[in-house]
Amino acid sequence: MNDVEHDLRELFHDRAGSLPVSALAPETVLRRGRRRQVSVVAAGTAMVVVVVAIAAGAIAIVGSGRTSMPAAPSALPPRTATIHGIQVSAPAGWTLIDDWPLASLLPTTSQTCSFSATGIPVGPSPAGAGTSTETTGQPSATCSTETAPLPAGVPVVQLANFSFPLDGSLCHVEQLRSVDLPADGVAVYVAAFDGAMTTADVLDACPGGRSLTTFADRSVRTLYVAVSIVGPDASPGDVSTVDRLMESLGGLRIPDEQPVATSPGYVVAAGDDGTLTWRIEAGFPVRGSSSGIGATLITADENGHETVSDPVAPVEPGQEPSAQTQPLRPEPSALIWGTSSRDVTSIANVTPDGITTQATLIPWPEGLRSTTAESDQSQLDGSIWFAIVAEPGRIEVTSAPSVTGLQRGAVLHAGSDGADASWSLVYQDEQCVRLQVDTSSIGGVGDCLPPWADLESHGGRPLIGGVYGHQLAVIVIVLPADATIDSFRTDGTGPNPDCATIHVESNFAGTQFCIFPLAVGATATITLDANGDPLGSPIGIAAQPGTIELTEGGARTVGAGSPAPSP
Amino acid sequence: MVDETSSEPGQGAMADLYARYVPAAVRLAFLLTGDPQRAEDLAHDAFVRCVGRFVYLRSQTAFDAYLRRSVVNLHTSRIRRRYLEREWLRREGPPRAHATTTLPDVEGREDLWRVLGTLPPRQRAALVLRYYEDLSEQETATVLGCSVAAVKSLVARGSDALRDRIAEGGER
Repeated sequence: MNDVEHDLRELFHDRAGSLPVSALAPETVLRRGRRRQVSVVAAGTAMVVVVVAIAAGAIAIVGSGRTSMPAAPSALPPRTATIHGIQVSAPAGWTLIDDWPLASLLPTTSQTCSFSATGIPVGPSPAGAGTSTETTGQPSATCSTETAPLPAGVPVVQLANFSFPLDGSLCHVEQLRSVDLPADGVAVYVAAFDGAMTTADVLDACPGGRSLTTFADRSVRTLYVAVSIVGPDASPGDVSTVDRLMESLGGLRIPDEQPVATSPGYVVAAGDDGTLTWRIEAGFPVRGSSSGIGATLITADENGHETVSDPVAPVEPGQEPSAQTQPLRPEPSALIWGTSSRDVTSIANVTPDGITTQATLIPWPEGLRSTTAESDQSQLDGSIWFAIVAEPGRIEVTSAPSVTGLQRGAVLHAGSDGADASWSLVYQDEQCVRLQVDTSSIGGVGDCLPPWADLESHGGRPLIGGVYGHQLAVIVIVLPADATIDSFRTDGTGPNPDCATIHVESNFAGTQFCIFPLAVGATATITLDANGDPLGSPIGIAAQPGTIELTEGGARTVGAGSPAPSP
Repeated sequence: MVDETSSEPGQGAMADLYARYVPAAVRLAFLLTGDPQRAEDLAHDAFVRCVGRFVYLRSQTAFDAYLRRSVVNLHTSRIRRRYLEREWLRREGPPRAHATTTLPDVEGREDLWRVLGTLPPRQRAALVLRYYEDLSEQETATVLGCSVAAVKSLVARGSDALRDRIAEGGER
């Protein structure tokens, strides 16, 4: 043992031994531990759901009839947001709009002024090009102010159990689009309560208005009114959600300072870490872009002082998701968030010590579409995403196959006979998928199989191809997606056809491939329904060494078969 | 007692886990950070993480090993390291010159302790794991997530740095 090692050992044990340490667990630590257990289990559950979803998606790509395009992001999650001092709990799927910026955008008064002044000529100007005047008396101005008709006040927050446009209003406000209340709809409308208004005016201006409550800012300079709106067929659960919010608003005092958001937005996610509240809003905050669509993060400290992030625009397909980080407590936990394109199906944060947290992907609110130009609406096909992570780490992104993502060599489907033979459909290009067959002794690749659309344009008859060996043939039939095999008979011992419909967005979308092995010397007879073969003739296939022979029916063979190499 | 075969510790079992393992973790964290408050925070953070992952631990009887690894990982993680460095600079100010180099008297240990605080976190962690926790080079490598060769290098460089810096202090 050298001197430093010896000294270090003594030092460490002296220092560590001198440190007073309690073995009693502080209550706060136990609470954090419990919360952590819950969140980890929830994250694990979410991961299972994601894995199942991905598996389901993968099955759907080649499966029977279900859509295979990127899994739709989940609907709006439950949110408890503090919107400029107003705490609102919105159940999953409900629309919650921060309309605070409207107060500065909507004119509530108009002022007309006329000015008068007198002047006298003072001689030619230095350039001799006219005269100048000089006022000799005080100018006078006469102004008249008119209040714009806002019977229900300018909305600041709107909550509803249905979707409505961002420029919509649940109560009558002339400058905004009126929203019809569905029969089972419920809503809460919170607005600035102008001194000239009466509560009766407000209720009258809100179809379905049931009750109201008022509150003020901290200096009691501005009053606000909240109206509960209930449709005739509203469910008791939804009504009680609205009632709870109304009760919580009574007597509220909200911050005096101005809100920071510059444009109204859908609150799509929200939370707090005990000292900081945050919310992600989707709307039109992006300046200088044609659509203006974007998302912002708004945080508020314990005093209600708000800060808004730079807006984040939607992401085009094929691009990496945008990612922002907001530190949270306890350090080093954080909120990570951003936008992602429509082909992204999952985003995860992986911490340096390997903890994976799946992000929540939220669709851009449907209500944005009605206020977005047709040409920009594709931007709304992507997602806004967020995750609360123990520590920012590596971002892992999973994307679904797409037209641009479908690469040469991609396996569209794979199967086997459960014994010796396995097969796969390999994407070559937009006109060609090849059947690849492997057994323990031989392997082979078939000729190009065309998409059903091409066959349909040439008479709409199924195509039969495959890989033909000297002991075994693997047959593939190209069919439309809605075709079914009415009967399959064989004197061999192989399994029934393995059918897969391609849904990946490509020329092959809607093409069904049915694959089955057939021992050389055996025959199979297939009867398709009318969608598969309008002529309805049974197709007989006999496997011979290195080839097949169609013994019945009218299906073509068009060179799709390919002899497998001899063993 | 902790039911270490259960799938997830409840509140009482969690308190038992704390009593059994956290004091040692605090001491380890103290040797890594040099700050009792930071050490406690670090050990608590690590404990919360390990409790949260308890159900997923491959060997739930090795809770102390996971806790140790978590303490070291948290300590050496970039964000925490930066924070600790800022905190250290704020508390300690610029390094002071010391006249004593004799070891192992009390002043010498103070110097050693002070110089230890100037080592990069992974070097310090390697020294603490080897000479306080008495882990083998292989076990240290596992905790630090590096190779045995890297552990040897960290320990050698850390020891050399300690010698050099104490010698420098003695010459002033």
